[in-house]
Order: sequence, then structure tokens, then C-alpha cells
Amino acid sequence: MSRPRQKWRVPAAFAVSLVVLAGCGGGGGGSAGSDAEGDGYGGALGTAKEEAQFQALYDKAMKAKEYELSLYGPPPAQSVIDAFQKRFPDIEPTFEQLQSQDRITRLQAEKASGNHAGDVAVDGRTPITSMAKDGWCEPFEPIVDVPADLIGINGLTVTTYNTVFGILINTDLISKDKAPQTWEELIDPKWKGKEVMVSPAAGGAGAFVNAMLLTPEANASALGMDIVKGLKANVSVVAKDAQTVSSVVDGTYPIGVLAYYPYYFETLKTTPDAPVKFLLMKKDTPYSVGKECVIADAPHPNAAQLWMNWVMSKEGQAAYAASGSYPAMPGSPAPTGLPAPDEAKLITLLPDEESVTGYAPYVKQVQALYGG
Amino acid sequence: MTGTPTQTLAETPTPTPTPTLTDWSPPSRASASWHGSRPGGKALMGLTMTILVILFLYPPLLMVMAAFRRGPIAGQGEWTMAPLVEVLTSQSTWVVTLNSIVLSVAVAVSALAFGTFLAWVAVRTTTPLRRWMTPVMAGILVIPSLFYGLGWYVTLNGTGAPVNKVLKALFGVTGSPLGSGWPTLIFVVAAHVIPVGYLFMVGPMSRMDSALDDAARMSGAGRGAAFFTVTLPLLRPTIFGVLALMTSYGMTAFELPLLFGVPAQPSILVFSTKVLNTYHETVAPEGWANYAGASAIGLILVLLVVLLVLAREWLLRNRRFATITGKGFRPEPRSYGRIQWLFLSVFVLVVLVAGVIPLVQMVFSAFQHVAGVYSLGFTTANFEDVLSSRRTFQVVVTSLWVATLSGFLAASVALMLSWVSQRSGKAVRLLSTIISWAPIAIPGVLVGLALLTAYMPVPGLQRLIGTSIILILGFIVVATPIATRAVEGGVVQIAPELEESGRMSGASKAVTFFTIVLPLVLPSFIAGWFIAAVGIAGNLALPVLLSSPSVRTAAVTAYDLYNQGQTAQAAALFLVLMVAIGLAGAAAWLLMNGVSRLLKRGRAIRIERATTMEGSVLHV
Repeated sequence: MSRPRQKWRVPAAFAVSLVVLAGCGGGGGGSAGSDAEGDGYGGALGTAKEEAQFQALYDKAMKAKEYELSLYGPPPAQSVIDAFQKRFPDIEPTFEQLQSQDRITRLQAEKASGNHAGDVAVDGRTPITSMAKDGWCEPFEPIVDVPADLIGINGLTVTTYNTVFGILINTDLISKDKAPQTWEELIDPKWKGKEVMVSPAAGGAGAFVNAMLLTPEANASALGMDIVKGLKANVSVVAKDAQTVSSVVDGTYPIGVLAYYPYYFETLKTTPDAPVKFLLMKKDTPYSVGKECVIADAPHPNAAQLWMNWVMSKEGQAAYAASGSYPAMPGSPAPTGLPAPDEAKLITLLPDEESVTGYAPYVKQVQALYGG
Repeated sequence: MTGTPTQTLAETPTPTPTPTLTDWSPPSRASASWHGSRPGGKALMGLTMTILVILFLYPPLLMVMAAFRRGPIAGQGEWTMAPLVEVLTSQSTWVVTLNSIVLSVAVAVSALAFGTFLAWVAVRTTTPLRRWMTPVMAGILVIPSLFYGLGWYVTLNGTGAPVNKVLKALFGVTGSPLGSGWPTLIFVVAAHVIPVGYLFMVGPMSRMDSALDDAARMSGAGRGAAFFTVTLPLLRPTIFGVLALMTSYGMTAFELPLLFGVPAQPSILVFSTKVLNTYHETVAPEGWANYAGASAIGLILVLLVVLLVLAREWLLRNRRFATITGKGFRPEPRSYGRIQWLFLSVFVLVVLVAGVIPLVQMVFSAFQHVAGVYSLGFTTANFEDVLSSRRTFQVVVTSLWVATLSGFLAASVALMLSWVSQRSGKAVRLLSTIISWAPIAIPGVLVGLALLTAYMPVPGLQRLIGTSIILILGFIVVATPIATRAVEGGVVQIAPELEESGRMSGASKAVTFFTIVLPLVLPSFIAGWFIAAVGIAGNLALPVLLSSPSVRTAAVTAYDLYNQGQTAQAAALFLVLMVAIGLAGAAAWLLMNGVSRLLKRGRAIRIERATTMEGSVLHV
């Protein structure tokens, strides 16, 4: 049985890539140094050969009049989209926040009507893996040298970046030293009423991360239902992830649980003086794995392949890092404010394919616990 | 319905008096009085009704079928009872049903009570500012529900929230005690629909002859007794229609229960939030979405809405509600003395709660770095970001034209259905009623899904998916029930003898309709158009699935921003949308005013010519 090996694959790929990038001295987007290396794009995207392929693909997209690119899924920070458009100014990417079932329904309608509009699907690994298995994706044609571990389901999907959930504290109300940083510390009764978390009752990240504590078996025995119930006893809940961050920023609660790093990152960009600090958990840090795939029968297939390759390029990965995510490619910079990858002790996840249905019963269980 | 005497007291039973001209009696079956006896008219009528049936009844029917089929696509796969059994045997289903009923009844009753009272104040009293009540209420309606909800959320949650500061200063209470839970949920949802209740009631109320009240007063009834025994009973068609609509709204409300119900301990889930949860469940081992489970929960809602409509029909059976009777018609206001200041204060309170407080809060939020966090200061960056985006102009324009056109078409369909329902036989009347209510039975979350899966197999319609046409068709379907509630109250109050008079004077049916019926029903029609258009502009459920990258609305864009944690930017975009709706509404109002004056002048000239023309009976 390959499960024990498989279950470590995703965090291992994540950690390995980050170790490599740390070893390379990544950070701060070193495109200035590489500008002189290549020809087409000055080395910003990759080697000279890779950049020539980028140029050829861009020309092909232009020849086919692929001036628009429709991406279905939660959009990245505007800075990522701007960086792509700066590189390829004649292609305008447009994100539609269609996730999981909504995206499939839209694609079913497009298929039935013949009016195909979606080019790229962007989401967490579970829905994208599910799409690939159900025939909604076309093979990714890599220009850049993407490690095999990042390409899944027979070349249909690619892991692009990873995003962590952590603890957010209001430094006016609690010091870093005293803040809880493990799951066990979080359920200490002394924090009752002082923690805020997004409600798992309506699904979403709250339910999904709680489900991670219940499966696979390693998590269930180390963490399990005791932690889930302990959290429920301690936390006050809010309706949306972003409200976890805002209610710690405004001092309503001293501790935010399952704070999504990009939201904190965005908040800091606009309000650098906010009295908040993001802490990674000392172990079993929950995280989401970002994946993408080119949608089958995409109306702009060249632009779609160009986007996917750009995301995996040096420039694309640096853009994601600059918006608060850990890029998946080795050699990419780390996001500002987060520790080196080997310090991020990540929680064990189910393997990609098993995750499609493996979390569902636990998500339902957690939702029911919160009255959902 | 059999004929009744011209007296219009609602409780009049239905004896059969000696037939007179005014005892208009509709034909027993569909036809002659509306679409004529010519085969062409019948064929046109039949075709119209067929199209309406396909557009309006097919989606809910498909949702019912989807509850019994499990597969990768909604409404497809193997037939099975399993999803229904799972839903019916789950305790949470019944908790959700009870929650939904409690919320919807509480909301409907309170919103209707306030709406009716204020409508009466506006048209039957001389309360100060009464002429401002309708425009102010209409203005409040422009606030999209998510925007309104976020406004109250920020007002009630957080240490910086004004309400919590007051509570702390006065009682030493900390935290956000009013941030979520039943009282807050009912209060916020009810306050949001009071303006809707008002706008539905004010049209019919303003066209009621005050002579009816006078008759009651002369017969010895007090003011209160006249109001409760004459005014309210005459408004039954509108009241029951609006009550049913509000109840349905309470059952399908999504954004507000998400903000104020889900964070409660324990969570208060209603149909819409439960349907969304179920729809997002994964069915093992295939990994399909649980369409069937979500549809099965929708079935319970269908059943409840059917019961509501049947109750409404039963309560209105064999009654006549015509209140516009031609000569002597006087909708005059009366002075009620100093108590009118109390009426005014109720109006001001409603305006504060339903509009001003959440609006002001969101205006602040739009200028904040983090919405609701005053300590971080203010900025104009959100507006700069929104207004510098190339897509902002595009999405606002799309929202405006799609909402205006869809709202007009929905109000037109509503007028046709209401008229057909009043002037046709039982079969057509029943069909019209079903058509105008059916889409309400679909929870908001399933609306787009039901429409898409319904249109996908239809050869002509499937080619339209992804275009603005399908979005408009979808909006017509979801907005017609709302528009119908606004229009039907006006239609049902027009006595048939007015049309008969026109016909006897030689006017054709079309001329009669456009010169007598339409002008009388125009206030209700415009109210229906406006309410439908505003609802469409703020609608989220439909464009999420039916729109395409090239046809994108402002509400969806703002909702995306909110979902990404950029609530302050979402507030800025919502404000831009509201200003655009306000400007467009003001332009439309000015235009209509101008046209109305021209028509009046034209009519006056025609009357003058007719009366002074040689051969006229008035010619001297």
C-alpha cells in the first residue's frame, strides 16, 4: 500500500521546494540580477530557451486573436494579475469567483450550449483534482521545468502555490510569548471567549481545516475530535474568513484562529501600523494547496497555457510570493513575514485523489457540530 | 366569480341581484373578454401562455425532478428516493424548517404591519413630510441587501462598533452582545423589507375611495373601526399577496441569515444557508455535488409556498375588491391632529433603521482602510482603486441596462398575468397564479442552477447560455413574482365597468386597455418595474451562474471583493452602483414627468376639440 508515502507527498513537495528556494537565497524577487541573463524577457521568466518558447506561445496567442483570458476561481491579489498583464499586455485576464460546484455547473452549461468561455480553473487541490478526474481539464504543456511532484492526474493539473492558516494576535491585548501556538494551547479553557474563528457551520475553510484534524488517521490520533470540540468550546465565530482578521485588528478579540495569511498580508499592506501579528503554529500548521488546470475546450488555449506557464515561471512565482503565498516552484522567493519553509511544520494531508471524497464525511460532521 | 352589486364593501357576500350593466360577470372559461373570439387572438394567447409556462414552470419542475435523481449533473443520473429519505430523516432539516418558518412569519408580519401603517399615513393623513415618504422608501430600496447587511454587521460587531461603545458606556457590557442571534436576525431582516411592504401597499391604498371610509364613519364607526373594518379588508388581495411574498422572502433570504444567523451559538440556519451547505457536500464515492439533497430541501420550501398560495386563494375566494369606481372617486387625506407627529416619528425611525444607519456606516467603511475599524483612520484609496479599474464602468453600465430592461419586461409580464387572471376563466387564472408564484419556490441558491439545467436541454435556449439574453430571461423569471405582487393589487382594484364604458363608447379592446386600464394601473406598474429593477441590480444568486466574463454585474463584482476580504473596496463599489442607480432613476423620473405632462396636454386639447367640434352634443 502506497498510502503512507503518498500522504507525505504534498507537504514534502511543499517543504522541498521551499528549502531549495531558501538555499538559493530567495527573497526580494531577484529579477534585477537575472535581467541580463536572457534575451526575450531578460531572464525574468526563465532560461533563454524557455523565454523563446514563451515568446512563441505569446505570438501564437496573438495570431489566434486570444486577447482575453477567463479564469474560473478565487482571484489572486491584483498585483499578480497586473504583473501578468505587464508582461503580456495584449492579454487581459478576468477572474470569476466560481468555486467547486458552481464552476462545474457553469462548465456543464457551456458544454451544452457550445458557448465555451472558461479557459483556466484555479482553486484548491480537491476541486481541481476532481475536475481533472472527471475530464474537465486539458494537459498542461510546460515550458518551464516543473518538478514531477507538482504535476498531477496524468499531466492535467499543476500545483502553483500554498497558503497557510495561522494564529493572528492583537499585540495591544496579548504578547507573542503568551499567545497560544499549538492546537492543545488553543483549547485551553483560559482562552474561552477570547478566540475568534470563521464559522464551520456554512462549510468553507472553517469546516475544512477542522476536518483536517480528523483525518487521516495520524491526525485523528494526535489531534482528533478532542481538539475540534475544545475549539468549539473556546471560540466565538464570524461569518467570513476576512472578519476573523478585522475583528482581531479592531481589538474585539485578542486571538484569531485559522487566520488566512493573504488576508492578513493585504491588511498590513494598507495599514502597516495595525497592532497585529501573524504566528505560524508550532506544528500541524493547516494549509491549502493551490492548483490550476487548463479547461477542456478552452476558447483561448494558447493564452491559457501561457498563463499557467507564467504562474510557474520565476516572475509568476515571485508575484505570488509578494501577495502572501508560498510559491510551489523551487527557487522562488518566500512570502514576506513568513519563516523559512523548514520551520513551517505542516499538517498531514490526504493524498490528492483521496482528498476528493475523503474529507467530505468529516466536513459534514464538523458542520453538524456547529449547528450546520 | 359571480356578479356583485356595485357597493364595494369587501365582506359583501355573493347573492345574485338583478343583473345590471355594472354587474360585470366574467365568462366561465378563458377567452372572449380578453383575447377576443377570433382564432388569431386565441392562438396568440395560447402561444404566449406556452412560452410563459416553459420559462416559469420548467425550472421549478426540474428542481423537483432533481430531488429524485443522483448524478454528475443536476436533474440527471439514476432515479432514486435516497436523497429525499436522507433529507427527511435528518433532524437538522426540521430544525432548519422551523427556523425558516419562525423567521419568515416574524419578518412578514412585522414588515407588513409597519408597511401598511406607513402607507396609510402617507395617503390618508396630513402628516408632515408625507409626500416624501414614497420617494424616501423607494430610495432605501436601492440599498442592496448585502450592503445593508454589512452596514448593520459593522454597526453591531466589534469594540469600535457604535452600539457596543454605547452598551459599554451605559451598562459596562463588553463584546458584541447584539452581533448575532434571533432578535438581531429578525430585526435586521424585517427592517430591510419594511420599505418593500410600504411600496406594495401605498399604490392600492392611494387609489381607494375615501368615500368608503366616510360611509363607515356615517354609519357610526370610529376612525380605528373604519380602518380595520373597511380599509384593511378592502386591501386583502394586496395584503395577502405581500404577506405571502414576505414569508417567501424570509424563507429564501440568504445574505442576512449568513451574517447574523450563522455566527450565532448555536448557528441559526435557514433554508437558503442549508441548501448551500448541502449543494457543496460531496457525495461519495463518485465525488459528485449533492444536487439531489439540495433539491430535496427545496421541495419542502416548494410545499410551504404552495400552501401559502392556496391559503391566499382560499381567503380571497368569492370576494370583490374593486375600489376605483369612476365618478365620485376621492382618495382624500384627513387630518388626525397632534397624533400625526407620532406617525411622523415612526416613519423617521423606520428610515433610520432601514436605510440611514447602515448606509452611513458603509459610507464610513468605504473610506476606511479596514471596514468598521475606525482606529486605523480614513482613506480615499478604495474609491481610487474602484474608479481607476477599467471594468468598473463596464460592470456598472451592464448592471443598469440589464436591470432596467429586465425589470420592465418582468413588470410587463406581471401586468399581463394579473390582467389575464382577472378577466379570464378559472383555468387561465389558475395557470397565471401558478406562473407568477412558481419561481419563488426555488431557494435563491438554486435559482441559477435550476434555470441553467432547465435551459441546457432546450435547443433554442441552450445557445443563449453565456449571453446577456439568458441573463435577462433569468431575471424576468425571478423578478416577475415580485413585480406581480406590486401590479396585481392595482389591477384587481379597477372595476370592470370602467372598461365596459370605454367599449360602449366605441373604443376597441386595445384602445380601452391603453387609455383606461393602463393609466389607472400605471403607478402600480412603475412601482413593480422599480422594485424589480432594484432587486435585479443587487441580485447575486443568478448572475453567479448565468453571467459570463463579458456580461458581469456590479453586485457580483462587489461580492467577490467582499469574499476576498476587501470589504472596504466592496463598500466603495456598492456606493458607486447606488449613485449610478440614483442618477438613472432621477433621469427616468424627469423623463416620465415630461412625457406625462405632454400626454395630459394632448388629452386636454383632444377633449377641447371634441367638445367644441360641430356635431358634438356639447357644441353650442
